[in-house]
Amino acid sequence: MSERTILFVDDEERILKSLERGLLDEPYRGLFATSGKQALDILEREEVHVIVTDMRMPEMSGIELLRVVKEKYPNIVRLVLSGYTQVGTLLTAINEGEIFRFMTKPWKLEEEFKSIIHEALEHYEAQHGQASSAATPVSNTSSP
Amino acid sequence: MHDERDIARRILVVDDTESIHNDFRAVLMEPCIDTTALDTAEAAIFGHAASPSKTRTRNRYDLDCVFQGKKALKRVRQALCEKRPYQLAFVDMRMPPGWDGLKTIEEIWRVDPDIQVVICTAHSDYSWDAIVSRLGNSDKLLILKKPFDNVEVEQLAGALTKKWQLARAVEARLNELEQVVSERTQELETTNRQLTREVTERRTAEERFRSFVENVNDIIFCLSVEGGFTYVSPKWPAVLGHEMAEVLGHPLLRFVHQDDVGPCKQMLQAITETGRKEEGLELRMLHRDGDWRWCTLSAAPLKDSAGEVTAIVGIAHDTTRRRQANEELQRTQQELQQILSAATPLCVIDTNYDIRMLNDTFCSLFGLSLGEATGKKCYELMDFSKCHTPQCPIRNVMEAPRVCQYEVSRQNENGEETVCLATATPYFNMDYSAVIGVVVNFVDITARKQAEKEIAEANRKLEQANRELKEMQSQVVQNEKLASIGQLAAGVAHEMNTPVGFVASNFQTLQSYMSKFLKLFELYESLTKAVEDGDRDSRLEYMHEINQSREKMKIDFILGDLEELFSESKEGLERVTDIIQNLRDFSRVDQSEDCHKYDLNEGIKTTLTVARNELKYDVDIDLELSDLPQIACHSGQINQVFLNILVNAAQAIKSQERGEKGHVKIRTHATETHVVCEITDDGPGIPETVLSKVFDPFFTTKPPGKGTGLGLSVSYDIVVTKHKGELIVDSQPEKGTTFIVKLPIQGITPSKGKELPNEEENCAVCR
Repeated sequence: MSERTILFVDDEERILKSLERGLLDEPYRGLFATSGKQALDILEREEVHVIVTDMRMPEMSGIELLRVVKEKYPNIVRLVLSGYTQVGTLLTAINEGEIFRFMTKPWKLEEEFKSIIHEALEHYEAQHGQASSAATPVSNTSSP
Repeated sequence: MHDERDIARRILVVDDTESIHNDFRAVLMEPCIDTTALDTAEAAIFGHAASPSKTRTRNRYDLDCVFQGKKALKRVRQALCEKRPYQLAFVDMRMPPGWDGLKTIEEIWRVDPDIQVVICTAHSDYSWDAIVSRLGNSDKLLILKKPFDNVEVEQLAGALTKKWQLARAVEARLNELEQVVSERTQELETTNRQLTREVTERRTAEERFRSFVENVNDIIFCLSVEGGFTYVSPKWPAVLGHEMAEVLGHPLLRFVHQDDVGPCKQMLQAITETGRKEEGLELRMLHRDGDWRWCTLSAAPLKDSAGEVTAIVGIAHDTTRRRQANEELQRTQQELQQILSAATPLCVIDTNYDIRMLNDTFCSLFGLSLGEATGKKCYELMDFSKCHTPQCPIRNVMEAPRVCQYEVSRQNENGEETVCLATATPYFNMDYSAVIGVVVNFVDITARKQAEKEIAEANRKLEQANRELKEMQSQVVQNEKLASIGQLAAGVAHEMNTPVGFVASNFQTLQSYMSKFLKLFELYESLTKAVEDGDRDSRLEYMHEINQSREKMKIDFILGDLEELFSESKEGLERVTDIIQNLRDFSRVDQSEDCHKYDLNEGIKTTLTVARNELKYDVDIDLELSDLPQIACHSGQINQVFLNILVNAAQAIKSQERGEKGHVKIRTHATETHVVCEITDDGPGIPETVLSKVFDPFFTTKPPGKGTGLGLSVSYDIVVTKHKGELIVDSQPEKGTTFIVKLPIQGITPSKGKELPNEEENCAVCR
């Protein structure tokens, strides 16, 4: 399996930094964006398999970003990492973003976060692994 | 008339000579001569039959003899006193040494003028003329010349005493006659006076009658039997306008309205035929100006001595005015009756407590028929507890006239009670000198009473509801506080979730870093041991392993990252600490509800920190804070006000979905008396229709579940009620909204002060 790429979006840079160092040993590449716009820019350039975004961000909220992602990159598995746990926010995220998981801040890195990311990757593999590897040059190097 | 024979014939002889006395005695005391001639004369004079000849005694005369004049006078006086006067005196002319005859006679006559006197003189000392001039020409004086003849003396004595007696008799008779005449005169005078008075009276009466006839307001007239006027009183022109000449001689019927001519004719005919008077015929009489005047005509016959009717007298009374007055009175009464019927229920009670008058509304109010009510006593109709007691209002009003109000009730046969407010007003006689009754009018206050009762009940219920509402309100306010705290907590949670999130994540990463370091440390220890042992192979092997592990565990990255990890984590923890501190400052949860010194600028900053997460995605905040004096207030409450206003602004802006942040400008300044904070947003503004409601409890424009509708209501309560400040809202649709919070610099009295309502409110909020 070729290296997978995960895009993290949060307007709080320290969140991104803590994730970067927390996932240092994980078998996937992490990309980081501090706004929805920056995230969309990265998606233009890079192949991303999983996206993890905050909800409340200035200019473009997580919901809006996910809506765009779902439309333009439907294969990307969408996750939310948010401090907001109000039902309304949750429902909107789930219904409009069709997200895979909703994670809350603060998160338990080892016990929870990493395994959810793994589940997301597995989900990706299950859904699009073949197609994706066939479509992407990276997939040729997937075999050990 | 007394009988002269019963009276002694007294004779006085006055002579200074003793022999003369004897002579007289001899003559007058001797048996008398035949007196038949005298008797006959007597009979002739006095008109009675001559008495049979009688034997006269010698002592026919009572003879006294004196020597001197003075003595004679004394005797005369004495005789008069004894009522036995002397009838005749023989007086000597010369009686020395005393009075002479003339002097004596003068004195005697002075005492007794009736006495007959014979002057006896021997020689004429005085001539007759002299005597007459001295004594007056008297028929009572004779002169006897001495020497005198006995017969002469006797005749003189007889004649003169007779003359005296006759004179007395005549006198007596005259007196009687005089008496009779006097009486008769008196009678005549009385009669005369009476006649005079009668004449005067008659004249006065006639005058009065004429005056009456002429001045009475009625027309008095006489008619001939043919019916023409022979007399009319001068009032005619005044009453009917005609000149006398236009009336006299003309028939009455000419002045009578043709419709009344018949009855008038009948009247006149009846008088003439029956000879009796007729009264009270109402008819119209012609005025000279052509109008008709109503008159009442009464007439009576005048009859001659034979009883034949010779004329008719009558009187016509102008009743036009009375009729008009009567009509006026009737109209007034009718009006009064109508007014009375339409008036509020009233009755008039006289001093005997009899109901004298009442109206229809009274009857219907008390459920009575007019018949039932008429003639009753007031207490029979309106029995109530004060009847027949000193508190009886009717009695009190009559005794001390004034207006009095009281309540009176009456039950009808169905047991329904009518309660009335009665107003008793005294009413007076014409000159207001005495109360003659009481006018009582009634206002039915049954409904009012009932309403009052209901109102009282409703009031009680309202008070109950109010108490419950107050309890509920305090609960609601408490709920709002909790809700805003909840909302805030959500925001604050997010605000804290971020730093806590990365700090916690870093902490776990640090753990994994540590385990890597420990692993590496073990390798280094093994290496150290191998160096000490001088085991070269092992040394190289460990060296290789260490290098591999370092690379594998990305130790270089970790080493480079450690400082950043700590500084970022430290910063994250500071942020959390900061938030908690602000939260505490904001709500003052660690302090009592007492007011304390408060810097409004600091309060705004604290609020902004707490609410930053709520605001930062939607609005940019511009601060223009001036230096402000500190004020005393409940800082937690005031911060809550700012939070409400700011969050509302952010939510309103967010609701516009404008795609960019809004702006909120917060400006503070101080006036002499107040610190002022203006919070202006450029949001959608508040429509004019709801602007007046924004402070109403439960008013909200947010969708259900989004707001309690209490935020601004509670804010208003905090600023205006609790802090005696002002909360003003100004908004222009599509432009934005400005809230102005003004708080008195002097602050409010500490909540332990005397302002009980505030304290209560505070208690309610705190409970």
